Amino acid sequence: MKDVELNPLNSNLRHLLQWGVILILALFLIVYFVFLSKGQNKTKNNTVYLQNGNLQVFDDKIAVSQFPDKLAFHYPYLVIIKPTQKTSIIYNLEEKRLEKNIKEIVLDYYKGNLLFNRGATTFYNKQDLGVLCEKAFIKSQSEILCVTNQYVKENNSKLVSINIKTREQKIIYSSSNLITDVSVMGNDIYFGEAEIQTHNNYIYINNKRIETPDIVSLIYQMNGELYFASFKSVLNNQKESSYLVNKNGAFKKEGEGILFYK
Amino acid sequence: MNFLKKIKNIHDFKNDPFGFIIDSIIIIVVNLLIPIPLSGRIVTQLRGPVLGFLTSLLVFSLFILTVIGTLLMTPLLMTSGFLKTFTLASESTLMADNGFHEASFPSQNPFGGSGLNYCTVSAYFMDSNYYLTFGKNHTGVDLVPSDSYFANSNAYKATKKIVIFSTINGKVNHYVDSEGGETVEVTNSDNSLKVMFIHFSDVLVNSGDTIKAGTPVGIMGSTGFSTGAHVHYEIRINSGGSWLAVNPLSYIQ
Repeated sequence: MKDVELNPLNSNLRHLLQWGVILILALFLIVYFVFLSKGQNKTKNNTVYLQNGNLQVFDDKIAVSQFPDKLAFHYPYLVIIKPTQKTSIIYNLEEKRLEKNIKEIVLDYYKGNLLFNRGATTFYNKQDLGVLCEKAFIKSQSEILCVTNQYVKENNSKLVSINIKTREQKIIYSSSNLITDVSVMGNDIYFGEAEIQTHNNYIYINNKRIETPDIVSLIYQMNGELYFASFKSVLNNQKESSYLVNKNGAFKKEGEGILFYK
Repeated sequence: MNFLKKIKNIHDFKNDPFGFIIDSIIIIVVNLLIPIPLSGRIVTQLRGPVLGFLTSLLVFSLFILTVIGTLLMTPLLMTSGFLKTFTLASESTLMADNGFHEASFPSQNPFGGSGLNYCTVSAYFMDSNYYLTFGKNHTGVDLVPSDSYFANSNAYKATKKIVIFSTINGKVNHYVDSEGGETVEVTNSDNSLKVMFIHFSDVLVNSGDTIKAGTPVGIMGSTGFSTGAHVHYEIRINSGGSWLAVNPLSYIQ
């Protein structure tokens, strides 16, 4: 009886063929997963804006109540704070993705470092700073800028610099009115102020005061420029707007809603 | 004819005594009500459909009365608080918290537990964000229960409701504020301090009651000037006759 010949390939050629098939399969899987993960990161909507209590963050829509919900901004991070749910949602605007959900009332977030209020004080990661900040900004790994009530009974506030290691406080600015927000861009410190009696509003750039036509609710940056948002309030006839700030003043951005990223 | 009629009546009575009595009653009543000859006899002949019609009319009338009664009485019952005497009074005895220190000055938060373990502060005393939104001062703290509360509170485990306790001994004043918020004030015996709780969905005490710290005063809700369920907790001290709001967090140990 004649031997059955399976194929004309010898043993070496068969091994080569097997390795070839494995290589092609591996290449296919790598390419497939790379494209799949890229496809998942792609968002249909490339803007972030707030309009009538609805925050559109790329493809996500989040309802933001006028109070007590808050927003914080530390480029590239946008934080949506929902105190009644004890939840904060952090987005990375550069990477167009959700960074994380945190079960804390966050004041600021930058590159994994968290500033938040728990009980009667503010914490930087696990460290109790021994003071309650209403607004705050992580200036560096050794310094926090914190807006805190100066007097217990009145709406007066001060902006302090806190040394994270020593918890030592240094007053940067003291106000008989309200400091509304604080931010840092480059080496410049920006903060807003609202006069309670006159209802005048200001933004400070390294202590240089510029009068603004509206409340400086949130200072943020977009495309390398400085903006501030004015959220709806009884003090501004329930209108939300945004303003571009430069050395010549504050200029209202036309259009509906407040644009944070485009 | 009368004789034959009497014989027939005796025959009918023997065959169906109950029917005979009913027919006789119907004839008498109908003859009295409808003064037309033979009206009683005609109705007797049609007693099945007539009785059916009358029974249907009675059932329908009862149904209509029940519906109208329910519609009219429900709001009255709800607002009168009558129903609460059956439900919340028994809960009140269940939920008393012995973990509170009886005192004229508050040292605990109104959810129970130690420190601020059982609650999260959603808005602070003189919160600048509140002022910038509503143009008025926030004279207390807004508290919501924490995860620890849901995991450990005996009151919550027993009732599945968020029970708010008085933080001092004192006299109760319950009212609805100008914004519609269910409010309870407890004033201490020497009239030097009072605590206030606002936005209850249900109130478990009555004005004039004298209560101790740890007595349940209400169920957390969102009545009045509120954007979501929470308790607004406020402490006021008597300063020369006027009640001055102070930071409640300074009192919680």
